[in-house]
Amino acid sequence: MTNKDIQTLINKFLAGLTSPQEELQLTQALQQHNSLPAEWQAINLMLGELTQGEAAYDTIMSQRNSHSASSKPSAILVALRFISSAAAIYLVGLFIWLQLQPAPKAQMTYTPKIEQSKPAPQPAYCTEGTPREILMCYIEHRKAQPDTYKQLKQMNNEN
Amino acid sequence: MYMTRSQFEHIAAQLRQKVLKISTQFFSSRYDAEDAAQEAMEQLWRYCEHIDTDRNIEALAVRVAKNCCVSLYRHQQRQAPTANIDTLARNHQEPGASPQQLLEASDTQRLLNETLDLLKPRERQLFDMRAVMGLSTDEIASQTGIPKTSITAMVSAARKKVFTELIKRMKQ
Repeated sequence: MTNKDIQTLINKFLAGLTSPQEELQLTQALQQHNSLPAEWQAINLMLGELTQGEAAYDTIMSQRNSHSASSKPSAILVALRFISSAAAIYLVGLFIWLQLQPAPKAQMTYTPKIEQSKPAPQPAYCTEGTPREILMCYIEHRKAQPDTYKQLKQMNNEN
Repeated sequence: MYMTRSQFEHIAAQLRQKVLKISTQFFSSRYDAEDAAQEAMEQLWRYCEHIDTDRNIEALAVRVAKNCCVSLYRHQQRQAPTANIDTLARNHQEPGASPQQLLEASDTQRLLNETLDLLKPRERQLFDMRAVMGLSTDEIASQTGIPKTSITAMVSAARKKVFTELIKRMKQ
């Protein structure tokens, strides 16, 4: 409330036109001033004990409320606290879960299997029929899989 | 028509709850809240035969309770002018009044009483009804039977008289 508003209310008070609510507002405004001029001090005296007590009560309560509101952490801070707490709980849980898992065997080493040389598989086809039929069958297979036969031929040459 | 003691006793339990709620909001200590509520109920009990039955007794009880809370709080502040553990824990310390301030308050109260004695009985009655009892113009009109416009004029005249006299004495 500005000084002008206070003076307006004082004029209204002296004219007997203020409501009890306005007198309470005026008292609160005057109580918030540290050094009152003589005229305002006189008005403050005239406002009555009940109104002054009520105004003091309301002022103290509003000061406490504003103090407690300012000491409350902001929403962002609360959210950050929540997220960090959740992350910490997750990490602890993960650590415990990893501890419960069976440990890998320390002596296990990689030992590649050495394949023993096996005899080359004999073709299971072109074994029946006359020699001519067998030969024709063989030629047809060779035409169908030229690379395989090329490799086989190369292997035979190397051996 | 004024309230009787038996009428007050009939609503005392309900009023006490209201008063205790106000004091509990104010004090962190349950004992202090009970003390303030008890004081408020005692004051209402002493004053009840002057309360008009049409008046909102609950509103008056709330005002009296607030006054008692502030009085007890200030009394505690005077008792313990230095910060102790209790007051720090409450976290709402108000500077206690020094002996000089108390003396000044006593002087100003005496000054006001002397000034009010200069008013005519009717003016004094209306002034007190507004300032001390906290009645609105409508309530005064219903109690006294005086028209509202006359009440406003008489209250205004009384206030201006008191104001002028107070200024004169304060500047002496």
